[in-house]
Amino acid sequence: MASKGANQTEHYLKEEVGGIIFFAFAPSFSAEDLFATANTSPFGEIKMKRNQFPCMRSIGNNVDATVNEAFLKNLEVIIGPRTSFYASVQSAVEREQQIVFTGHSLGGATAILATVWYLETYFIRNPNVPEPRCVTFGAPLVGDYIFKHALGRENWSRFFVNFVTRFDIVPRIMLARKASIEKILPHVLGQLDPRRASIQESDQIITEFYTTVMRDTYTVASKAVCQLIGNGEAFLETLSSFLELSPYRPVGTFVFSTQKRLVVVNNSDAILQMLLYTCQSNDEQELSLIPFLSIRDHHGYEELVQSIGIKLLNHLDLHNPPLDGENSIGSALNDLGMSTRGRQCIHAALEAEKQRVENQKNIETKRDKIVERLTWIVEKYKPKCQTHKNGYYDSFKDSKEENDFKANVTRVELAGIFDEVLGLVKKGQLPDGFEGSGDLINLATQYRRLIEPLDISNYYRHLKNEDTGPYMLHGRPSRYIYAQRGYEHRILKPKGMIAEDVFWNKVNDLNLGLKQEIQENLKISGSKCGSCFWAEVEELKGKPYEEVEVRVKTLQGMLEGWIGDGEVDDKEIFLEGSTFRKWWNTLPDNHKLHSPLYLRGRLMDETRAT
Amino acid sequence: MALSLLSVFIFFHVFTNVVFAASNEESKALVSLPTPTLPSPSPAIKPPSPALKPPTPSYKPPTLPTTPIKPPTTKPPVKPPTTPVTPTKPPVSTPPIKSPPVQPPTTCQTSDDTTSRKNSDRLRAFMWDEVWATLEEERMYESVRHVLLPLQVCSSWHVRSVSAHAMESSSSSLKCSALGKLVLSSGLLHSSWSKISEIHKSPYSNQDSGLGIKIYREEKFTLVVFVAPPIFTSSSDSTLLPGKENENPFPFLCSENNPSFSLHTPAFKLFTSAYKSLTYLKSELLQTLESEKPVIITGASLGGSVASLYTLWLLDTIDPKLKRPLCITFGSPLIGDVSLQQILENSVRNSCFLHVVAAQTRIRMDFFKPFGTFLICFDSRCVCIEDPVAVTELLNGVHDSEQVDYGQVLRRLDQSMLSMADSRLIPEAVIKGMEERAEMKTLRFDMFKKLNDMKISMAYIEWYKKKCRDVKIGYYDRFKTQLAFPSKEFDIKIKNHKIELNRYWKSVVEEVEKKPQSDISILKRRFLFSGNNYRRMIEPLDIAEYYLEGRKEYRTSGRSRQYVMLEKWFGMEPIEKERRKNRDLSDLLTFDSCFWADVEESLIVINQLNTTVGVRDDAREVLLTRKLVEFEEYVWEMIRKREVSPEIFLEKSSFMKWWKEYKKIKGFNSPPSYFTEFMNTGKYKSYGQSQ
Repeated sequence: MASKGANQTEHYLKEEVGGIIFFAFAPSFSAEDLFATANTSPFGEIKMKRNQFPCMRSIGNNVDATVNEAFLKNLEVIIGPRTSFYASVQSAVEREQQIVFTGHSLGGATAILATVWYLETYFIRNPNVPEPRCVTFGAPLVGDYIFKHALGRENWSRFFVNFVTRFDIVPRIMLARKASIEKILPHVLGQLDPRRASIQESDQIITEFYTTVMRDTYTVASKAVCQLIGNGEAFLETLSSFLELSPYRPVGTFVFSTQKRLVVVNNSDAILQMLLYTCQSNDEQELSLIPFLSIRDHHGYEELVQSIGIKLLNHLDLHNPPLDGENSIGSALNDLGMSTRGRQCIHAALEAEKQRVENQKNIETKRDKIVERLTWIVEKYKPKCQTHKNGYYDSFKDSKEENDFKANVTRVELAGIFDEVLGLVKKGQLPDGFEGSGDLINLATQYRRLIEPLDISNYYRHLKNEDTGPYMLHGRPSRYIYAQRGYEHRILKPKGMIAEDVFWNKVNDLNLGLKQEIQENLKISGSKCGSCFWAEVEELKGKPYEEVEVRVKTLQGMLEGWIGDGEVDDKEIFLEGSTFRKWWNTLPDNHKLHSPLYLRGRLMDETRAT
Repeated sequence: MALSLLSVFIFFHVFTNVVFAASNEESKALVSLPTPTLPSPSPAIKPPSPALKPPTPSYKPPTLPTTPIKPPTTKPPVKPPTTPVTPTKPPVSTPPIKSPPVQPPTTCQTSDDTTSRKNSDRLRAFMWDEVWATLEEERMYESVRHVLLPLQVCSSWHVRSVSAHAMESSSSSLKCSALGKLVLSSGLLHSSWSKISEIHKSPYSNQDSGLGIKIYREEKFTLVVFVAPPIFTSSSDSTLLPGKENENPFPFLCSENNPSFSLHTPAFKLFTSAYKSLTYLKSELLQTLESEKPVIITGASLGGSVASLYTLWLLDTIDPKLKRPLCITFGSPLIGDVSLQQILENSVRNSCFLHVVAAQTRIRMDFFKPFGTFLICFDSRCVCIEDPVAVTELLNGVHDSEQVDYGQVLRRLDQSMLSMADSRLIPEAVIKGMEERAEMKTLRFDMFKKLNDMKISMAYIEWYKKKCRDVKIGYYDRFKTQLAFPSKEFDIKIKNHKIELNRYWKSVVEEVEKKPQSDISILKRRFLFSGNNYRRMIEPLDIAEYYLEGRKEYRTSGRSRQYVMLEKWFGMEPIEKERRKNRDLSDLLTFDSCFWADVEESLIVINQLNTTVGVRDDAREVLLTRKLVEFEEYVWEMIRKREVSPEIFLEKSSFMKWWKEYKKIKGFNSPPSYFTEFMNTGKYKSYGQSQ
């Protein structure tokens, strides 16, 4: 693209047109820019750092996104002090100008990562920052499924558009194993470099390269289809441990171009299938030409841009099913050389997405039930227990009243619903955007704050801690951990911070002594989450004060914040019969006197009075 | 070669609107987003060519390119549409009910022969108007057409439904083909076969009639190749293996439902002949697997059969957390009968077998049955099938002695991998059968899904138990009296919960019983625990029902199978928990869920003793009294171990009724026991309280 013309010492080009800032990144055709030299992973991949890219992870499975290390390194150079990129972006942000990141070939990969960097650095923190755009031409794939999932969750996928000419090999390269293409890669990259001499039609190395890349693409795409239509068959699982499959997945919108048409696809699974099936042919002669075309098409983007106005445009989605031969998408797929099998694969991908949407709808129908149950707890159960002066945590623990029994049934019912949701999330059977819905996070947070105390109460009522250890170690249901992560993500996202750091910062502020010792002490502490308050109280209850001083102080240090955030209900914990109050009163006087004022005020004075 | 940023810009403007807009509904707002920044008066008519670039003063063309931007003259400037875009499509508010337009409103429907000029106008209309609205409208138009032209509607519906159906029925075939492609492109077959043929070619092979084993440690995995002499006779002898340990090297495979199975004799003989070296190999492979390196066990023909047997044997000792090995056979005879097939069908072990078979070979399946996954190779295509019935349908026939060169088979498959030809390989009828069976499978009982409902039922019964305790009657006795005279709705509900729970656990146990013995331990712990809880909580209610009906001998002739099995499995699990000695037992469920049956039996004995006062029969009386004493000892043992619920001592409980009678019978002259003392002194009242 533009940056292609730029000399190689420049990493990017900046241009302002019509008030929009364009950053075009330079492509590279050297092997170490495709696979980082020191990287030993089979696909040159590396995990993204959570503190730099707090959004690029899965909340349900708590895994960080994986990207190509060489591409990431390139981004780091660009945002580093050696270039003026950072300052340019900064000034555009200050002037609230829209930015378009673009690039051809490996420059496109940089553009994608630069966009993500921009989103994470500016966009999430300031609502005035304009939405970026990312347009790539023949770019290789950059990140894995989680990368794609995270962009979908944040509703950022819509910022990315990738143009692909039909046979271009570059968007497919990252689907191949490094080991299988490493040796011939420099030669091929040389051929791909537009500054070099023209390509030959019968280059054996190119043919070999094409075959190798497509074979691996074949494996990846077939595995993906098996997963889409199967339901976790054991054979596939057994087989998978013998396969080395590329983790990379398409991100954003792909526009496939042929002579006459442009086919627009949003669905990542469908795009993956298209990357395979558009590169096949049933014509022997064409088949022998494809290796050559796979190089030539990488240079076809200028022509694409010029001819854009005269090309037909087709959207490939559920409204335009790929199997209907008579509609326009049918002819578009003909143009792309898609076989019947290929169409079926795309259909399977679109159907899977439909199923995900169905699953989400299904969950939404349960919403009213959840709300109704939670309302009962808030409006009936809690006030009733409070009149008994011990709060619902302790009332549930005694389980003497009929309401306690009702609450128990409610607890189990809700657990069923949320476990089902979590199961779907873990298996990726919900739309990417599902986890990003603020509505869901609110509901899950309310559920966690209200019902987790009951689960803790149940745990210690049945003395499960004697059988399986502390609640925080083995007892805490993952539905709560998940709800906590979702909540933390939402409140910390605008600050660009991660929960772990925030927690330890707070602990440090308490000045409790040596950092390492404290970390050891708080390893399985319930102080990490407000709704685990009771679990921490139960654990501290039976232990001598000297042993758990740090934990007690941490709990007290956190409590005020929790009350403020609504994590802990202060109407409950200070009640006369509450386990917390009873336990706190057994603490040494010296400790009590040095406790934070809000605690002394609410616990000590009243104690004296009684 | 180089493109200017400008063209990217134009490009961007043109495309972002189309592409971004289509991505979702939210993007409606997006469409107009870049517009305000454009100096051009009407973005709607801005042609997608650099020629009509808005005069942006700040723009300095080539700071960069080696080639100048193409002059606009190369292409005739596109004439801006004189009319606004709207006329080309029907207005949104009033759909064209009366005159269905000849052409659908978007370029999506444009036929290929339309001139490029027309296209570009249309494209612009498409791009600069709200794409989403257009799409919506298109759909609206569709529905109108459906109303107006019923005939056409019918036919189009027909077509659509047929194609949908065709699609559905081919989802199985798609799966077979995709799995086949995956297996083929994985390269695992090639690695395995190359080692097999290497051995076959070596001069030392096949000289003796014994079994040859060779291990190759490759970079990614370890390959174990089994070589056996060729099969001279198409032997179909079978050896029956009973479930007993000493006669069967595979006792762990037997399930409650299939206690024995038969194996292919030649393969089994070869296997047992090399038992010693195989045992050594096993420990070696286990080490390999523990180091996270996957293992492939392979062989052709009879060698493959032995490889299968060996894999079955190996699988028993593999920790379920480790990666499972994969056994790949090439054209091997089947090794097991229908029992083995059934056993494996319900086990994850079935996933460890991949049998490569050329489609032209025929395998006799009258006695031996297939298990595992089959890769059936046609000329240039292959399919992967797990459904044993479909495999039988495709491969059953008289054994064909023709030798197949699998090296060649693989080469042919390989060559055509990237070409496009898709032929129908599996007959429609076979696919249909597969579909039906797959559907049946999904309809099968899902124990995980319902577990939560069962927890709710248990919560109800737990509450019931508590409420009964409050009125000084155990839930056992309350249930028994309520069964006789049902009065409250709550009691009836409890009965229904009990029925639900019984039905559920009966199905769970049936499912589990199909599995090989050693798989049961893999069953999730929570199942074992909830099952145990269920047994201890609900079986007393079943006992109450049983004795109310006037029946006897519950322990030996009344127990439902699910209780017996749940107790057995729980007993097999090595869990010993540390309990506090003084822990509060008020929520404890009596360990022995048949406790109440013994109480009932003892009450019957007391009845017998009391009613036969007239004619004295000393021998009989002694026998009956001994029964009572045995029961006393049994109860005392449980009290001592704190394994019985304190509820048995509630005022109105059957147990207390028994105690009162027993005390009378024993009289004051018999020597005191720990138990009688415990009862007489009232110590029982504080039993189970936390101290």
